[in-house]
Amino acid sequence: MESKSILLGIETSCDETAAALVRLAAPDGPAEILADVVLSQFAAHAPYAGVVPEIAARAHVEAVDTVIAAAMREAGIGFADLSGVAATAGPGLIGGVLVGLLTGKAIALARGLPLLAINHLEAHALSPRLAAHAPFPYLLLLASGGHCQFLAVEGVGRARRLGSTIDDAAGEAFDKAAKVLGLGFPGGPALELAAQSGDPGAFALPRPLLGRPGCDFSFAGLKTALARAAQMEPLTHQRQADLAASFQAAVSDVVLDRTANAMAAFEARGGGAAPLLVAAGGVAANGVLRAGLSQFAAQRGYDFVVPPKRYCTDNAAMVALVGAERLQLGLIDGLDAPARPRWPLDSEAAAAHPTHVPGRKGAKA
Amino acid sequence: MPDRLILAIETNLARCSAALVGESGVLAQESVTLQRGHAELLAPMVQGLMARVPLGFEGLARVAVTTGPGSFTGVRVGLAFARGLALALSLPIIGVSSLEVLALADGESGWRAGIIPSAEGVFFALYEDGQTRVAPARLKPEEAQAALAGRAVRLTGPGAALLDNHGGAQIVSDAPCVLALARLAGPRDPSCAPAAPLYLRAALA
Repeated sequence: MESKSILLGIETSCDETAAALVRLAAPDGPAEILADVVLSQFAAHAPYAGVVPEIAARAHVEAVDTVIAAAMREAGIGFADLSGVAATAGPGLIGGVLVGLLTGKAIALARGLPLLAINHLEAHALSPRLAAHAPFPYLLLLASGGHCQFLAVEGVGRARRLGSTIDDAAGEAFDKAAKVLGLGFPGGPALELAAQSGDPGAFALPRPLLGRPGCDFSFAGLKTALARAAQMEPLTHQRQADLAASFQAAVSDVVLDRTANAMAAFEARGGGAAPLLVAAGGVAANGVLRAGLSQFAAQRGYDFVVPPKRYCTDNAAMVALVGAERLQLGLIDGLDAPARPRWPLDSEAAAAHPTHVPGRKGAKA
Repeated sequence: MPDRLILAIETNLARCSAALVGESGVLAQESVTLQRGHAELLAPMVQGLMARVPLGFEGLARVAVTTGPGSFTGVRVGLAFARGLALALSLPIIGVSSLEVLALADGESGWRAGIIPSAEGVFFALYEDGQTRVAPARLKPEEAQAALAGRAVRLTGPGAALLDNHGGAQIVSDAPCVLALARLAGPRDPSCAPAAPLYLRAALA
């Protein structure tokens, strides 16, 4: 049967302006990526060694329509070929989210298409299904610049948060570490590169929460210890490399320790006969972490899937995929769908155990 | 020959407005006063307008939108939505500054200015018989005052009472009029009126 289910995905929640076209023949079926365009704003933010929300929002509104047009051209299709429009509606930097969501609403309205307002975390959670067979349920480590959490992903719209960071996200820690080491932005790839010529045992950096019960994360103490170590002596090239390698080793140790506890929690929920561990988000692109997780998963009898790098970082193919899956389940949103700076994937767990101090706006993630 | 319609969208300040205007006049319009929530209201509002004309989106000839200055978010909501419509329908899109729409709200004859209070001073633009004399800019109040040069300029906008305009009219209004936007955008060449944001303030204040 020829399926016409082609979704336009739009992603503008951080510093990538992205559009993609994805065809999903059947629920749980293989996704066909017809186009996947990502315009990084990295150069605009580099002078500030971090993403500046207003700069990001300005860049999105100047670019998103041309990025969508480029994706349509790449796929060789027209708006009449679409079955729906999926746009990230949060969580993220609200100025940028609004741009993508409003553009998506306009296209959906103008072409009489269903709108799907997508949770960016769910997009990351389902991203392994873009390139690999990843049947539900699976254990997901979502580690990015904005998030660091374990989720039991049991279906579309059904993810249970098992643990989360109590301070910084892993990618945030990488960015800040790279900044104190003078390695540039974005910090993850720069730090990984520097660490290649360093000794991971050169500095005994702390491993927050190591050996403690549960699968929450903490990176603030590690970040502070690194900053202190970096300031103690002049930062030679070798010292920079050694600190980078030591930092990366500490993160890796913590992640593996937390993963062991997350596996126990996942198995307690029923787990799955052939358990699957998935790592997604920008930090999953780190080679040392991937290798460590792969080995650890094999030891524990888990299959291990990491999306290809381009689907680990922010992209619109994952947004289109969630849109396609939600459309097949009839989970359509109204044209009044709000943009949400905070939008936990598992709102129940986030409300019951707020690991970020929730504040008056509610839990972040 | 059916009317060729303009869809005009205005979300720069404390209103969310949309109108459908054809050669024979205004076919439909909506305007809601609000401080926030433009992003939730705009798409259903336009959906409601389009449902009132038989051809729907197929009857549209162009899209018009205010480009700022105004609230950063409001400016982007209108532009992102209008540009999305233009892309999906392959329509020309025309951007007009909020200040020009304010200044020329009820006509173009004589000296007219649009004025909006800003964090440090005023957003200001001045026109004579519809021709730009001072292009949209962020000015100190005394600079805007000096630009009036003793003339009885007709002042329109949220900041209309901020200057001494030598006996000219002061029309305090909360937001640009969407019908004035449609009127100004109707004859304009899209290549000379890009739908690009006009913030008039740096991203990092």
